[in-house]
Order: sequence, then structure tokens, then C-alpha cells
Amino acid sequence: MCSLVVSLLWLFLTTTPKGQEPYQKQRERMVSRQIQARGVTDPATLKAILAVPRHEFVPPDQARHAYEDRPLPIGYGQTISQPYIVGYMTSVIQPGADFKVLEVGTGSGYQAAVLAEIVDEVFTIEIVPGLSQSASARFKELGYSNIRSKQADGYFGWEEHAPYDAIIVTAAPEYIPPPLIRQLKEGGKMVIPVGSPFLVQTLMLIEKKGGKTSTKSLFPVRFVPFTRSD
Amino acid sequence: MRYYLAVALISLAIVAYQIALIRILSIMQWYHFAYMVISVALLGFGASGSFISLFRETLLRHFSLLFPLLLMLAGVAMMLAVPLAQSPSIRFDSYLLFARKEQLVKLLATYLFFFIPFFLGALAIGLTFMRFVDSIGKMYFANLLGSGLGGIVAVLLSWVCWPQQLTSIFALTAILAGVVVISRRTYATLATLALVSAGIGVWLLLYPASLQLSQFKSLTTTLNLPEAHVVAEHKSPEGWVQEVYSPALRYAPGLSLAYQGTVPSRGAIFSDGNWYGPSLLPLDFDTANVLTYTTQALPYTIYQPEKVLVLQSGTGHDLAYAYSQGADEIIGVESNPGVLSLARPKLNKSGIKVFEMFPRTFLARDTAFYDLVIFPAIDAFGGTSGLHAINEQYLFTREALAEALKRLTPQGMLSLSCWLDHPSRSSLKLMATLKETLNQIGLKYPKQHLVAVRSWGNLTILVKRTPFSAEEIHEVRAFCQYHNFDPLLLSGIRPEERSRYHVLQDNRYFSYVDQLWSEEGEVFLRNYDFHIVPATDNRPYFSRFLKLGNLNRLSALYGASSIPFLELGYLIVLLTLIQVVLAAIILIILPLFRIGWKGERKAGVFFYFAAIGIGFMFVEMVFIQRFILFFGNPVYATAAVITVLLVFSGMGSYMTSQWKISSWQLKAVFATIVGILVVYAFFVPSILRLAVVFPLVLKLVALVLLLAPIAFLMGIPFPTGLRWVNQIKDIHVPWAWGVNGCFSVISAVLATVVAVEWGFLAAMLLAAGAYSILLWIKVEF
Repeated sequence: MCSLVVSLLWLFLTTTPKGQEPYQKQRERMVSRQIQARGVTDPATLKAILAVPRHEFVPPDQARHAYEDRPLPIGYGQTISQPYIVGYMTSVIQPGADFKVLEVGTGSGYQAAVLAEIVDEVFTIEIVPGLSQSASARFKELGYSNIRSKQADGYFGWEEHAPYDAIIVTAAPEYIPPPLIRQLKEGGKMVIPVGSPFLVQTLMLIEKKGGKTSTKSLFPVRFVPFTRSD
Repeated sequence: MRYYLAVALISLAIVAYQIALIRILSIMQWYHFAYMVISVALLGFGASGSFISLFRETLLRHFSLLFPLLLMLAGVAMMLAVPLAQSPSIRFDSYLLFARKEQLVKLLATYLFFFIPFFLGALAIGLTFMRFVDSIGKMYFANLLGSGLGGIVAVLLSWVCWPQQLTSIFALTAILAGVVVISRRTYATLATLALVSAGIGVWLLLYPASLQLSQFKSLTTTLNLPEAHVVAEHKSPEGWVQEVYSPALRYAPGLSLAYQGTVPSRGAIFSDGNWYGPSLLPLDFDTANVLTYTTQALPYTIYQPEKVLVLQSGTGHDLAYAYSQGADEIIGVESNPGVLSLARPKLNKSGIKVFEMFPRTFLARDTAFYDLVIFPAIDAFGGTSGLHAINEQYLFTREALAEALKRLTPQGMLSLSCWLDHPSRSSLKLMATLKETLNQIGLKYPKQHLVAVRSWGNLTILVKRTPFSAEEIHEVRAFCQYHNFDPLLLSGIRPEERSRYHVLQDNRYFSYVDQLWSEEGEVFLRNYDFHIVPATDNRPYFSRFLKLGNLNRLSALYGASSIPFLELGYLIVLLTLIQVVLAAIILIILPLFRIGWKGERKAGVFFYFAAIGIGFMFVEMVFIQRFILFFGNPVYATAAVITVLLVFSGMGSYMTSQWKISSWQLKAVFATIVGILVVYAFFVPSILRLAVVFPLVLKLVALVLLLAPIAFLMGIPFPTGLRWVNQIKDIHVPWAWGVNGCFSVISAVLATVVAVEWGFLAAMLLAAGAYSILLWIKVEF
């Protein structure tokens, strides 16, 4: 009898009202508490993050943690970045609707999905075959028709669609690949995290103006590991 | 006799197994977690004392069955611990501890699997001490002799066996120990067990399971790359070295944004699963080397060095670059034989010579002068933020830089590079160390002897004994302009020059650098949020930056949850200390419910055995560190010190079984130990510095001469103490053994904390202090 009561109570508490996506509330909380409250106010970025079901981009056993304020492991020694980092990196490039953006390091595909909610075209490259395949399948399943992905070495960028208005590198190597700089539009922005993959990193903005490239350290962030091919 | 042999064999197996386990866990995870897991597992020694205290009569009644059984079970546990800990449902990943709560449960299971073999082995040894308390001197001798040999055996076998094979060998050794003491009465029961377990051991030895590395280790992530494959591998006591190739691997640290060419694909070398360096390519010897577009090219653009010394030359890219820039004579020094064996064939060029040696030892022995001395880059890309906090780095101490400066020709330069980390630590500490070194050699305006250039991610500093000339400064500016780098330290630098290409979040870093080089530099060092006071040979922890007293302020600045990420390495040591202290308290208190809380000199017994545990471990740790520089090889220095210390302590112990020591003689022994330790604390470093030029044989003689007397004396208190306790009340003997075991483990961790916070001198004086406690305890026979 007791177990029946508990089961019914559990069913009542966990059943989602019709028409409401189960993680909607968590996502709203994540945006307001973790992203907006920390200074990311770009409306397009916030709207995009609200729209993307982050729990679909993590392994099933991690879905309940998807909206927590931390990165999560996704296999192959990779992680899905902390929500705030995704928000910040997106807002830094000030994406416009007509932007063509290249992402190097697809990972789970979450960052590409957030960008795809804002811009026309997103091109994303992942070097690890397993991750690339699962991200592509996920894009298709979730209906992201403006994302084009491929499995390749991010070092070379994606020449045939260059130049790009912005490039987001989610897995920074010890050097900034010259082809990526070449594929960045004049006036374009590239953002990369620099630092130890496990600890504190600095986000760096690279701008191309008048044929010259310069960098600006933005602020320290805390990531957990992501691909480094060194 | 066979009991002595069994005790020696199990002691050998335990120490050797411990060494193999550290290697295995360092390969699978990373060193600090290996350190934590092993420290907790070693509490098996303390736990065995508590266990015997609780069940002494039963255990001794069945001694003839239990003793061989425990030895064999210890062997079985040794051979199964690694495979079990690697099983999918148990395998924990240290990198995920902060991401997944279930990892804590897996960590506890891992503790348990590695605790069991130490517990069973220690239980067997402890039982013999109880059973043969009258001949404890000889039994303890067998224990120490076996332990001493265990270190050497593990090191020697590391040349020919994979680490997971070593665990099977030492497990078989433990089983053999059990076989040696099988009695006729228990033959039928135990012979079958021995045969079956030995069969499994041999099978695991011949077909060892491959080690499952964490998915986050750099070797694993590299092997995930397309077409990645292992090209070559090498095993040695210094590490398991692998060379991996993938077309996606490239090397160009902090490459200039002005570089328009291709970064070539290459292989990479890994040691124990960690990135060690890039493999060499034939084109690395060409003048069009990609490194020309990094800050490391700076010394060659302002000077044409003929003779170059590369310290910790690793895979050899700095040697190849020096060759490409036209240096005539290039000397490399590398301490890892595995890395060297893979790198050497590719360095077959006239003018390049590579020595297998610890770089500091080379500097101390070398008499040549160089136009350029290159230090290895500090930290990995972006800083390792404290992952190496408790690793001794003798190449970045004040003394190391002073020695390197002495090896320069009048126009010669030191070149030091580091990755820029955040919050800024490594580069500031490096500059602080350089400033103090230059001050100490009597330079009035040290800043004029340096230039520093910054890329978007790293920094290169050049140091000269003479001030940089106007022409050289002009060359530095031209270099920066050509490569889009920014000067950081340069005579007559203008503020706007410092961030022409790479703008920082704000100008605080420049302000820190200027304060550091100002008259009030010392005040800045003292008040900075992190520990950036120069490292010394007495405290060679360059990568330790955390100030424990500053934790609240750092929490306020970076958030409490960020603290572990600022200095994980040191925090894990502190966490280990807390764990072992808490466990030790339980293990020491538990038997008191059985043997009683009061009377019978319990306080005296407690302090006596705690003091011995602390004193012995502190001495061992300090001697190992002192002899690393002397021998020029950390692995062999450790093995040599442990062996000499334990074997001669064993002899001291043996002596107690031959001559009955009176109370006053014992006091004299304690006083002599204290006296020698105090003298050694102050004078051993100087003696070793003078003797570093000796050939190996003389060095070994010096080691024995220095260590044998003190080790001999340090072997006396333990068996004598057990006899004293047995005389007071025999059921207290296992408790005393447990107290000693617990404090030995605590001390091993505590000694690291003391060395990091106050240095080796303080650790040695503390050891003397611990032994002086014995003088106040009334030991009567």
C-alpha cells in the first residue's frame, strides 16, 4: 500500500503537463541565473539558448544534469561546455542573422545549435569521427537544417565556404592555425579559449582589421577538458 | 629460518608492489591521485595492528595455518587488484571526480581493492612480530632487508617488464613466501591454493591485461584522432614512453599570427600517457623551421650562438632548431632514457651531442662555457595550474639559474620560456627568481640584463651577464614588429609598446611586472595573492603557488568552487593528509576498546611509536630529495637511498637481538640520532654539492658512509620498543605496531606538506625533533 502511494506521488510530481517540454523550466532558470545574471545580455543569444534543448546534447545518463552550471563529459575525453561559456562565446562574436559562422570542434553540437538559432549558416568541423557522426545525427533529428557538419581536421578550416564572419574554436591548440586566420573575413572575429584544459582558461578574441591580426584577452573562464591534438 | 625468509619475501613483495602500483596509477590517471590512493592503501599497515589487537588470541592460536594463508591471499589480492579496479563498473576517473558523484563511490571501491593486499601482507608481518617478539630484532631485520631489496628489484625489473606484469611478479613472490612456511599439518589445504593462485599469477604475467587510461589523458585523446597509431614504445623505470603519429598532430607553440605557411604534421612522444614533446622531422633541421615564428627564436635573431646547451632537451626540437640556426656545437641533456632512446636516432647530426643525465647534475659537473643555454618551457599550454605543485623542479630554483649563468660566455644568454597562465603566476615567479639570482651575483641594475617578449600565449626571457646593448634592443624591437609580438621587458620600453598586438583584459599584469622589478619588489612578492617567492633547492617547488593563508581571499576573488582548479595538485595532498589522519585516528582508537584506555604506559607507548614513524619517514624523504641532485637520476637515487637506509636499519635491528641494550644506552642512541640529524640538516647539502663531481662508485661510497651510521642507529628503537611494550603487557604490542604503521603513512604525506611549506631543512629538523621526543619517554627493561 505504502509503495503504491509513493509511486503515485512520484508519478504526479514527475509527469509533465501536456504541451510543456520537460526541461523548459530548468532551461529558463539556467538562462536567467547562470547566463543573464553574469552579464550576457545579448537578446539573440539568450533567446537561442532558451530554444535549444541542451539535454538532447548530452549522454542520456547525464540528461538530468544538463542544465547545471558546469561542463559535462560526453565521451572521447570531451565535454559539453558550461552553459555560461557557450552564452558568452556566442555573444562575443555579436552574431547577426546574415552571418556565416565556422565552428572548429563540434563536440556534442550544442554550440553549433545555439548559433544556428541566430545565424543563417553554421559550418562545424569535428576531428573525432564518433563525435562528428553523433552530432550530425542529432542536428538532423532536431531539425537544424542550417548546420553543415563534417568530420575533418579543424586545422584547415572549411575553405570552400570561406570567408566567415566569425569563427568559434572550442578546442584551442597551442597555436592558432594560419588557415583559420586566412578564412576569417576582414573585420571578422574569432574566439578561442586559451589555457589548461582542466583548469582556468582565458577567452581570447582575435580580430582581423586592415589585414592585421590582433588578439585581446577577454576574461578567465573555467572549462574542463576538450580535444587537444597536441 | 623459513619464517625470516617468508617475512623478507613478503616485505620485498609489498614495497616492490607499491612502486609498481604508483607507476600503474600514474599511467591510468595522474600522479597525484596515484599518491592519494596509495597513501590510503598503505593504511593497511595501521589497520593490521588494530586487527591483531582485536583478535590477537585467535590469530596466534591458528598461526601455523593463518600465516601462510595470509601471505598467499596477499599475493592473490595483489594480482587481482589492478584487473578489478579496471573493470568497467568499478573503474574511476580522477578527471570526472568533479563532474560525476558516482565517481566517489568508485574511488572508495578503488581504495578498498588496493588496501586489501597491503592489509593482508602487513597482517602477516605483524603476526610474526607478535609470535616471535623475543627475536624481534632478527625478524625486523628480515622485514627491513626485504623492503630495502624490494625497491631495487622493482627498479631493475622495470627495464624488462610492463608495470602490470610487475604486479604479477610481486604477487607470485608473496605466494612463494606463503609456500615457504606451509607446515605438514596444513599442506593439503594450502598447497592447492598455492598452485591455483600461482597458476593465475603466471597466466597474468604472460598475458597481462592492457591498462585502461583515463579518457582525458593526452595519450588517449591523441589516439582518438584519425589515423593515430603508436609508432614505437619503450619501458624504463622513468616511465612508459610511446611515440604516436597522426596527421592531425602539429607543433608550433605560441605561433606568430603573422605566420602564413603550413604547420607540418608530426608525431608526438608521451611518457606515462602524458604529453612529453613533439617528434622530430627532418625539416626541423632546415632554416625554414616553423619555430622561427615563435618567441623561442628570439636569442638567434639578436645573436649568433656557436655553442648551445639545451637543458632537459626532451624530444630534441630545441637541439634541431639550434642546428637549423647554424650553431656549431649543440649539447643536449635529458634525464628520461625512454624519451632519449626514441629521440636520439633522429638527432644524428654532426655537432649535436646528447647526454642522459639530470640537467642540474650536468650543470654542476660541466666546466664548458656556452653562448646560449636553453631551459625547457615551463608548464604546458596555458599553464598546468598547480598540477605539478608537489613535483620537485630543480631546474627552476635560484641555485639552478645561478649555476647556468656561470656557464655563459661573456656575451652568452640564458633563454627561458613559459606559457602565460591566468591568474598570472608562472611568469611572475620566473622573473622573481631571475631578479633574485641576478641580485645575488652582484648586478646593480638587473633589469638591464633582461629582455622579455610576449606572444598571444607565451613569453620568452633572455638573460645576460652583461647589459643588453642598444643594438641588441633594436633587434628585439624589430623581431617583435616582424612577428607581431609585444615586448614586455626592454630597456626604455614605452607603455604602449607592450600591447600593440596582444591586448590583455586590463593592464594589471604590466603593473605586477613593474612592481616586481621595482625597489619594492619584495613587498609585492609578499603581498601577491599567490606564492611567487623564488624556489630554492631547499624548497624546489616552482609550480606551487597556493598560499594556504590566502584561501578566503582567493575564494572571494575567484569563487570557492574555483579554488580546486587553481591548484589541484597541492589540494589533493592536503586532502590525502586529512583522509589518512582521520582513518589513522579510527585505527588507533579502535583497539583501545579492547585493550583498555588507561594505564600501562599507553601514552608513552603511543608517543614512542608515533615519534619513530614520523622521524624515520621524514629522514627517508629528505635524504631521497638531497640525493636526487647528487646522483642525477631520481629513480636510482630513490632506490639507492631506500635500500641503504633500510638495509642498515635492519642491521641495527639485528644488533639488538645480539646485545641487550640497557635503558641508558638506548637514551644515548636517541641522543646520537638527534645530534647526527641536526648536523646533517645543515651540512649534507654542502657535502653533496662538493662531491657531485665524483664518479658513480665514489658517490655510492659517499652515500653509504653518510647514511649507514644514522640508518644503523635508526634501526634500534623499533625492535627495542616492541620488546619494552611486550614487557609492559604483551597485548599492547600489536597496538604499538599499528600506531607506528599509521604514523608512517601520515608522515609520508606530512613530510611533503612540510617540505612544500618550509623546505627540506625544516623537515630534517622536524625528524630530529621527533626522535628527541624519545628522550623524554621512560623506557625501562
